[in-house]
Amino acid sequence: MPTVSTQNPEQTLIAALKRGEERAYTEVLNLHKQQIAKTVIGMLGLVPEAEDVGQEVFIRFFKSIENFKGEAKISTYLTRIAINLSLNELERRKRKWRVFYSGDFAEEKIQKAFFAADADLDENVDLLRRATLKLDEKYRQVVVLRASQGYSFKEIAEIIQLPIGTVLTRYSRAQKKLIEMLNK
Amino acid sequence: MKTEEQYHIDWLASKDRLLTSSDLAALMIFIKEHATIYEQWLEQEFIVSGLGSTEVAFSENFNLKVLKSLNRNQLPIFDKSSLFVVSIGIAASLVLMLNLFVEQNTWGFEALLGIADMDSNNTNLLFYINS
Repeated sequence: MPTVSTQNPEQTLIAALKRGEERAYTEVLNLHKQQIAKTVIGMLGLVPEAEDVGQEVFIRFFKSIENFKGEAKISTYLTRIAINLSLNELERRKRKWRVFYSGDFAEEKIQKAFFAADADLDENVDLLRRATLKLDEKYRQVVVLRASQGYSFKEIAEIIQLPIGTVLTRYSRAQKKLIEMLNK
Repeated sequence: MKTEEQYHIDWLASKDRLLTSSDLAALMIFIKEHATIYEQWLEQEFIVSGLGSTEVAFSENFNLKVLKSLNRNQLPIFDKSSLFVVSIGIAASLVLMLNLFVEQNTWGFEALLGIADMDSNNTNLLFYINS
């Protein structure tokens, strides 16, 4: 009697990754790079560092594959890494720009400096994206995950490890802030 | 009494079926009584959902960059064959040093350079090696 594998495709993929099969690495990249690009570029804007952060997301995942228990889906795990690394990058940027700007209106000047770096965006698409980039990080991450990626509120709560009520409140406020910015 | 923001949050939660039936019923009453606010919610939801229509991607050789970087990080600086060559080299150096020390009959630093007792008859290291 033929044996039937009880593993789902994701478990099979994880097993192949743990065996070090290059095919599996490529498959994970092809399956998830678009989604990670949306997350990272949504958080950082269309800047060269976004690709570096994207690479780092996958490298960290592959390096820690031995410890990956499969409790969360690969996409959830990767998105969590992407959000954390993006927040780190934003913090690094702020530190860097604070060297040049300090005192009153420093935050405003820092924001302007970010947008100068993000000048390659297509004009027709960028109003909303630029408004998103002006949001505080805690609002930005829920907007990117919900509106850009289509995650459920439950999944977002799992990714950013916050209560679902907080996620809903942040998304509601983020929407209002975005509309206010667009109406200015 | 709930605020408008709380109803908005409830409305968002209802999209993912996260509301209890009593909260849902209360929301329905609020929406019925505040049609203009509901229209605003729908409009802002529609506008913000435009983010999902934007297509962004990494560069074409993104996979290659990740795999290269991963391999670079995983490869040790010296593989087995390099280590063998390096070990042989170190062993040969030690033998040569010993030979120099013995030939010159001293353990000083000059012996290591092959110039102990250097004079007009023995001017270099080869003098000892050839002797």
